[in-house]
Amino acid sequence: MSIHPDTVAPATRLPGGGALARRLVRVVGRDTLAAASAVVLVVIVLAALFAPWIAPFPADGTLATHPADRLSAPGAEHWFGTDQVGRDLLSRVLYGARTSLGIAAAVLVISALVGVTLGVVAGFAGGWVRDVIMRVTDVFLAFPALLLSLALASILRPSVQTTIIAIAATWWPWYARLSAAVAAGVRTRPYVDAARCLGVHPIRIVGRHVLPNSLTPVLVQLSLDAGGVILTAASLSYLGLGATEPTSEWGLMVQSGQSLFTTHWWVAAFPGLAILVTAFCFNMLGEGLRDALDPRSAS
Amino acid sequence: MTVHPILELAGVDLAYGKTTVVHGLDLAVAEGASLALIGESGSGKSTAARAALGLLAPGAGEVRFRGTALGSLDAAGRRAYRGAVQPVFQDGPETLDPRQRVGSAVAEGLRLPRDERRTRVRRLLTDVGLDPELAERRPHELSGGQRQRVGIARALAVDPALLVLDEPTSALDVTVQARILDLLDALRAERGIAMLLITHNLAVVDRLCDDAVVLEAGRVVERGPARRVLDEPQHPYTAWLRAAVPELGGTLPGLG
Repeated sequence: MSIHPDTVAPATRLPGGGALARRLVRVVGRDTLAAASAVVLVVIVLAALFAPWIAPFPADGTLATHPADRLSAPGAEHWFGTDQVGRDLLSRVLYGARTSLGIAAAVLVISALVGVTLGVVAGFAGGWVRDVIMRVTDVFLAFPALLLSLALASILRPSVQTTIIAIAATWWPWYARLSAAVAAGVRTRPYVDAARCLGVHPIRIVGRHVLPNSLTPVLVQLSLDAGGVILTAASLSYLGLGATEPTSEWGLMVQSGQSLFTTHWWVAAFPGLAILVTAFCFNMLGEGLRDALDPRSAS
Repeated sequence: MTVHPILELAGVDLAYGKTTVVHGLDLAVAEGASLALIGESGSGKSTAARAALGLLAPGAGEVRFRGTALGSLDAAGRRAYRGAVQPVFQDGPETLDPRQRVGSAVAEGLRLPRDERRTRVRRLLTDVGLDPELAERRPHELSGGQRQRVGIARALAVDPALLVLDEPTSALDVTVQARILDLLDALRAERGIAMLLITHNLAVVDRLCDDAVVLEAGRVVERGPARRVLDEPQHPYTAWLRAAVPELGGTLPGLG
């Protein structure tokens, strides 16, 4: 028993708890792009959280209009310029971060809750329970996601809530499928068999063993998906099916500045850039996390 | 009044999907007895262990707990069975939940208030020769031998009458193996716990078991007292298994 545990642990096993967190920090830290993306995302999240305090013209985030200042070019007073009704675009982009990140968070939380619950039940129960859940999931997966979102959004009244519902409805099946596969693997582990032999109730086994050990790949997927959700939300409001004026929402702002692009480029450019940077950073971070969790990347 | 064995497999067929891997297996483990189920990889012995543990339902035949088929047990009978028959699996990184502390793994089968549970867990860890302070550790901080002792403590928590040991020492170093066998031997001698030992390692059989059943490709080819089966194998397969263990007959350090 003098063997050091680290030297005998097979490389194909994911470490639990603190060890996992430390490894993520180490591997993501070595991946410059992922680390830089994480830093940028922290800045964006902080900007969204503190928008009312750091925005130069907080009132411009919503209803305020200043006709005298309309369509000012970027300059000392308005760093990102102003829009058609004179609202400060920097303030609106900051408030837009609240909307976009809020939508992304809501969509991902709902999708993960619904998807992981159904997936873990399917994976653990197996048999006909699994078949029923996975066939329903397949039906949702059969539609192209954006098309289904568009259809749902066009039935409901355009709003931020509509966007959330429409996107979450197409996103959860991926989490169901992913967690069903992972849970089916966890189900056969000896510690699950041991718990069954001890007469532990199946629901307790799921809560105590199967769910915690199925979550890691889901967390990676959440990060990879955040960028996609932000893009989809922006697409829906760009098409007039999502957030509506006077909400600051990046897709909506791009849409309203689009016709002015040749003469007043900044109205569409800055919110567009915000979408691009945020989605890009989430993808890079997700890729970094995925590499970090791949046992083959362990040092 | 007839005394039923703790566990009995009667004419059991076991299948995965359409492939039957065990054919008409009969075996019984009486109170305090120890029976070896011997065979090489793929002989169906681990599948038989899963059936004995109620993790796999037989396609034909019955698994009986104290005379009653598992499928016919009422709720109380089911609880009694779960408390009486406990597994010890081959050591591997996943015999224990990687996210669970040793203490809560050992306490998994206990229904006790928090304070009593703590005391009981420390006691169980001491019983299997571990430092009770290990309760706060996580599995990846333990050696293979320590993990296996934790697995045994988890099973002992419910005071089982029978341990189903599936290759309990095969993944361990020889010296560690010897200490685990000492522990199992002591449990049998001091607590009268019966054992169903699933193994391909005849040295372990010699050490722990009274009787032996030899399984080849899912069928029993030989059975009898362990000593006789090992020393005078009647079936060529048993002889072949025996020939594959050159140490037997000599003295293994710590096993003599």
